[in-house]
Amino acid sequence: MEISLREVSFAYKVGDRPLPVLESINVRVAPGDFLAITGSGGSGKSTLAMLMAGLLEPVAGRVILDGKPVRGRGKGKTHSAWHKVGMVFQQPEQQLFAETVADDVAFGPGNLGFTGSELETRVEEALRAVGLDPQKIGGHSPFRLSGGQQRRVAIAGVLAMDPEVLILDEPTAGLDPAGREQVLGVIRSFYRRPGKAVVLISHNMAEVAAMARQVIVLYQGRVALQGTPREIFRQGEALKTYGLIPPPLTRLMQELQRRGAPVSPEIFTLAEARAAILAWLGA
Amino acid sequence: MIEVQGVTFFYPGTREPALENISLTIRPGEFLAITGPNGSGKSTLARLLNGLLRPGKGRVLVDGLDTADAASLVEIRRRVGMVFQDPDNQLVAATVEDDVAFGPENLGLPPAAVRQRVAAALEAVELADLKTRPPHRLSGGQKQRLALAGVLAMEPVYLVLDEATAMLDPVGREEVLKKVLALRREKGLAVILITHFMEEAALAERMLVLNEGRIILSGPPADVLQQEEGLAKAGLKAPAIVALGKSLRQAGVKLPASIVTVEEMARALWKLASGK
Repeated sequence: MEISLREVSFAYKVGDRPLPVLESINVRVAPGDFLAITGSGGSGKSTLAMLMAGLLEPVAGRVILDGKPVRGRGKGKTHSAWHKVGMVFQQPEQQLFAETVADDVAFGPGNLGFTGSELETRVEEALRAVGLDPQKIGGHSPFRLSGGQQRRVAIAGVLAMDPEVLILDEPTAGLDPAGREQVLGVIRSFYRRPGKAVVLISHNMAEVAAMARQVIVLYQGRVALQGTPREIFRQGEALKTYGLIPPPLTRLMQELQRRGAPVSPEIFTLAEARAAILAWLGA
Repeated sequence: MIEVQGVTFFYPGTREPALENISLTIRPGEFLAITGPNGSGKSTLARLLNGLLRPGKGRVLVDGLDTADAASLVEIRRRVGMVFQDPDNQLVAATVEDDVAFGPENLGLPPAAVRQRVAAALEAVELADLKTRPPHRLSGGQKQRLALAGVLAMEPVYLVLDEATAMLDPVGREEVLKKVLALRREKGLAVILITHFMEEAALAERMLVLNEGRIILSGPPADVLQQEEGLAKAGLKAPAIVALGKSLRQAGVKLPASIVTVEEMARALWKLASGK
């Protein structure tokens, strides 16, 4: 599945005046891609995610799935390929509603027409994929779980629809570090499967650095920067204009470089930072 | 001074206490960080500090006023201001300035005094330019600063931030935190920061780690953040800079264990390199 947005603009209507949110956006996501979309609050990240998931329609430009221009989810008469695109909203646990974890996860694939043992298999696989034991937890009320577990149940509900592209809007926001790690693990193992692609909306820079292959920085509704995480974080302090701050180890290396140390400003991991500092101090 | 004395708290219908036998003293002007995993009791503790919740066992005294005493609650809540994660739940009025005026008006202050407090609070959070804007037309960071202004207009002695920056972008987070710490310096406001971000907790004078309703670690961040086992038990990890410091010390680099921030680390390494 390939999602492509060409010259897409979007505006909300406030009274009778348009409030522009996104302007002339070009994005493409193909199997094997891991795209992070980042930017300050109000830069248009969530709106872009909804357009990429077919939940909003652009006011200008085209949305193309596997080469075919399409309308939004549920719009128009033709059968659409949107069911291959899964979207995890911000704080998705707030939308859990069923009496049991298994019922909640079964809701999406049930709507796609799956029943019986096929539906059961999908639910069990999705729960296992998020690190929850369907036998142990499937019959529990979702409301008795911890915040991190609830969020993983909500993600399982999307995975149970077997998407090819998974779009997640701030999937770790508000979670504690252990919960964050678990959710990132779920995303990583989804991405490792052949033919899958991930779009991660996040303003957690350490997360973007560790996970994404490509990064888009939005600023006031336009693409301000685009590149690999290293290319993006190389900008250092300039990123502040866009509401962003490089991860701590990258900032450390940039600060040392600014003082005149011969170290690379494009370092993310502890191992890289350690090696660079030891090499510099040893020289 | 806020004194939490042997407090145990159960939510109705639960058998496990959300907090168990907590004792804690918070000094005026102090900067205290409270961290711990989801469900460890952090937010419960925050809500006990201003009487939003009352302890089942033990006492909470705010400058000598007992939160169990209904007659003291108005004064306690004026002294202990709270800002929560989701500012939308805290914003009530049609314009930014009306929103900030809400609290002082409820104190029964004369209009001139209300206006002066509103102006000062909006100035402090740098929202004076947007005072006629409807709150829902603000960005997330601006809304959070507005919620903060609403609390500041009550001229509190203690400010509790309960995950107040969790949903903000990095610059928004830094902005709110910087503002709060500047107010602490200028007005001697005590700051109680409840956070999942170890980098933020590391800036405090003292930090507590809660796990399953108990305080499992307590002390200056530089000490607490070295306690890998205790942190791991609470599902927490030392910030990247602390982990790097440890790793470099193990490789023989002579760095003090007290380093917790990027700036401190840069300075220490630079000193080492130029000292040779």
